[in-house]
This record gives sequence, C-alpha cells and structure tokens, in this order.
Amino acid sequence: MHSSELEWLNQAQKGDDLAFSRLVEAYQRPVYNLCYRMLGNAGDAEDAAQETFIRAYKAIHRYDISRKFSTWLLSIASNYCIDQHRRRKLPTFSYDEFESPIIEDKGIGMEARMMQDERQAQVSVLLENLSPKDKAAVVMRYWYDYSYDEIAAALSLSVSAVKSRLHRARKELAVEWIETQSEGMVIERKNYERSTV
Amino acid sequence: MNDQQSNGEIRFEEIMLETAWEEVETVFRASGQVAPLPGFTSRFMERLELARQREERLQATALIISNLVIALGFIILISLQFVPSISSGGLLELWVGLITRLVVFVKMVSGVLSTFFRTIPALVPTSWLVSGFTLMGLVVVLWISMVRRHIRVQGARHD
Repeated sequence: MHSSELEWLNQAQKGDDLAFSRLVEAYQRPVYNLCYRMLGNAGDAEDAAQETFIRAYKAIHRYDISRKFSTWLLSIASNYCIDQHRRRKLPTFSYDEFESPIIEDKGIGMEARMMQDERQAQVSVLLENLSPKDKAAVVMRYWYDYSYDEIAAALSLSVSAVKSRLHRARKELAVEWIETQSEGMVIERKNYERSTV
Repeated sequence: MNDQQSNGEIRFEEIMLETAWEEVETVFRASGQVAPLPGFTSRFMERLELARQREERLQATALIISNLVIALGFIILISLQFVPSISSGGLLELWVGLITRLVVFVKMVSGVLSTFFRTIPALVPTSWLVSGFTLMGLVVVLWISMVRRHIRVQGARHD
C-alpha cells in the first residue's frame, strides 16, 4: 500500500469525505471489474460498485489497517454480488445484448477495439455458468493475481476450499471453451459449404 | 489392450482440457480490466449524500415515533392515576367519573391561576413585573429564532 493511500485511509477513518473519495478514485476500476465479471452487464456492475463503496464508507471505522485494503474492498464487492445473484434471477447473457464496457487500453484502433469487444463477450459467456463464488475466485486469481490465502480471506473460505473451487472452475471453463469452439467450427463449416454450393 | 486404450483416451482428454484451459487463461488475461464510465466518483458522492439524507429522515421518523410512544405512555400513566380501579361493571360509569375528575382538576388549576394573577400586582412592584415579562418575551423571541434557524439549516441540507 502506498503511503498516500495509508494517509487517505487514516483520514477517511476520521470521517474525511475527500480522503474517501480519493480511495474511490483509486479503487473504482478493480471493484467495477469484479462486479462486471460477476454480474455480466454494465448497469448492474455500476450499481454494485457504487453500493460496495457506500458499504465500505459506512464500515470504514471497522476496517483493520493491517489488512490489505483491496482485499477488504473486493470482499465487500463479491459478497454484494453473491447476494444479488441470490435475490433476483439475473437476465441471461447473450452476445447480441452485449453492452461494451470501457476497456483499459486507450487509443486502440477500430480493429483492435472489435477484437477486445469479442474477447469481452467470450469471457462473459464463459463465466456465465459458474457459481457466483467460483466467479469471484476466478476473477481474483486471473485478473488480480491474488494468492489462495488472499482469495480465502476475501471470500471467507478455507485455502483448500479455494483450491478445489478453482480446480473445478478451470475444468468447467475448459469444457465450455471446447464446446463453444466446436460450435463455432460447425457454423463456419456450414457457412463455407453454403458459399461453395 | 483395453486398459491401454482407455488410459490413452483419458490422457487425450486431459491434454485437451489442459490446452483448452490455457486458451481460456490467455483470453482472460488479454481481456484486461473493464472500467466504469467517467465521473464514477462524483456519482458516488451524490449517492452517498442521498444515502445520508435517507438515514437522517429515518432517524427523524424514529425519533418522532419514539416521542409519540413515550407521550402516549405518559398519557396512559396519568390517566391511570384518575382511575382508582377498573370494575367490570360499568365502563360508562368509569368514563363519567374520569371526565368529572378532569373537569374538577381543570377548574381547580384555573382557580389557582386566576387567584395568582389577581394577587400578584399587590405583592410584586409593577416595574419588576414589566421587566419580568420583557425578559420572558426576549427568551421566547430567542427560542423562536433558534428554531427557525435550525429549520432553515435542515432545509438547506435536504436541498
């Protein structure tokens, strides 16, 4: 953690709104990304990310400064998204409905942008069938390079439970990938046959 | 031979899954982090303010309700002072008795007050009375202005 972040945290714990807004500025992307990957659309992700920061603001005086702030924040975000999954049946994702989010890289060309959009759609389709907790674990592992211990702390699970969840998720994702790829190949083949006839 | 074949199939499946997973991981890592629309922090600050206002309203409502409950409790307690015993016989008799006692009580209080206001000019000099009433008036004006200021501050915060 940077010294300035530590300062903001101290100030925020004393009730300084400006210091907390700086923390929001610094952590909005990882929180939003987690929510987006877990909920599958930009509107719900925005709402969940905002709610995460509101909850963090209310509980900041209880935050243990020795703990990693991002882990604490992502733990709030993942719990909120898991609750959202439980409370309402989320609309199922489809490629046509794909709402393109803002990607990290700026100044990319049209072609690269289209490829990125396609990748985002692929990622959302792949993650769709995982359980909310598995999704959170996968995002923490493969987007933020969190250790098993950190994931366990964020999701209130044991390290072995995290390992087994990730192992199962990897297998499910691989099977899903093979299926989508073979479906794509069949469609391409049909298109090719149609064009040659 | 069959064992060898099935082992081979299992191994093939494992390799396929491993390769597929590697491709998935590549897609994941290449997809990067998605960011919210610009102005996220200002939207958050607005939302925080709304949440605060909602909380304040809830607290005010809770305060009013608790005050009402306490006041109601006091009224019931005071009323019970007028009711010596509740007989199952006549509710009407009970009410008549209660109202009679209340009328007697009000008459007694008004008698005491009128006597007080009639006798006080004789006991206290007029200058003392005038300065006393002026002081009371000033206190009342001060109190009203404080209440108005408080209401204005609350209104501004809600706007």
